[in-house]
Amino acid sequence: MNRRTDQDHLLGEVLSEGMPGEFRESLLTETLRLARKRRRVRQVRRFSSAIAALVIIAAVMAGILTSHRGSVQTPRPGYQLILTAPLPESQIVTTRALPNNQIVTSVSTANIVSTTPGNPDVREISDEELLALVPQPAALVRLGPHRMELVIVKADNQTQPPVN
Amino acid sequence: MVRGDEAAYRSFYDAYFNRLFRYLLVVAGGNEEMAREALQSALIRVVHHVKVFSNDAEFWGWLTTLARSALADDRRKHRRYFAFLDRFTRQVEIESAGRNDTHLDEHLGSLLQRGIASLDDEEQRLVEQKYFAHRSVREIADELQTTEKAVESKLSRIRGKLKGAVLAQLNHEPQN
Repeated sequence: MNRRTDQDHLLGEVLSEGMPGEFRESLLTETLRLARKRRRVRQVRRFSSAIAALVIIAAVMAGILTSHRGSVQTPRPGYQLILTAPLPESQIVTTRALPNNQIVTSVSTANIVSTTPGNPDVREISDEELLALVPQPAALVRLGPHRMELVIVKADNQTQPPVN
Repeated sequence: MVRGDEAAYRSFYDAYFNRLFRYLLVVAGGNEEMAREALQSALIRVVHHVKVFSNDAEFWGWLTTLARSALADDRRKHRRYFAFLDRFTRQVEIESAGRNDTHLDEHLGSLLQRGIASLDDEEQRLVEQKYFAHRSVREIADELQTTEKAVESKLSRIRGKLKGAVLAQLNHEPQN
């Protein structure tokens, strides 16, 4: 060994004097731990890339196959296919009959009178027109605001029964 | 290392751990604690950013860049907490002085030589025997008629002294 190498060796020992012996070892352990971690990360990344590449290749192949199948001109079906899927249970609404004691029923208590418009051909006549219709002498006897009697007089002094 | 090979990291540690620490010690102006923290940050960055280099010089250049940026980040952290503004100014000067990587080891070597020169005669002899004449601790102990343990203890004390001298010189360099 030459003097310079010896001096280098001495310098190494001098500078590491008082340095905790475990310092280098703990640093090495930490470094190795990090290196292992990075190696694992790299492996995972490589694996993911490979998977992604496979997926892309599969997608491209599927696309090629689909376009190839399209060029064979398969006959289109004469019907439209509708696909249905059952609703999820949460979206289904169900009903059930109420118990008898909760049912409220009602009956009609009023008479319903229905009217229809009168015959427009029937015409109300006046007192004079009524008297003119009777061939014998007659008289109208008013009994109230809306009540009258028609009295027909016969020639042989016999009176007809009053007509209301 | 790029592939995360653990054996490669162990080899890297054997080859560069001490060298990088020495470099950081100079750039940090002899602040050992700061150099250690920066070394830790730099080694973590190595794991995250390691790539292939064509030769050792390029790799070493990249390592020193990582180490300097790690040190600068740590210093910013310290500055936030302790406002060592005057020290920061000094560190910048030291950093720019320590950028010449080729002279770094020579510089440290000269500081070590100055440290050795400041030891007393007995200590200097002991260093010479152990590190430059390559005599074993047992041989030295036999010659001095003492125990190996006593020689080891003296050598450890001398190394501590030399370290203190080197760091003190690094610490005061910009003001010289």
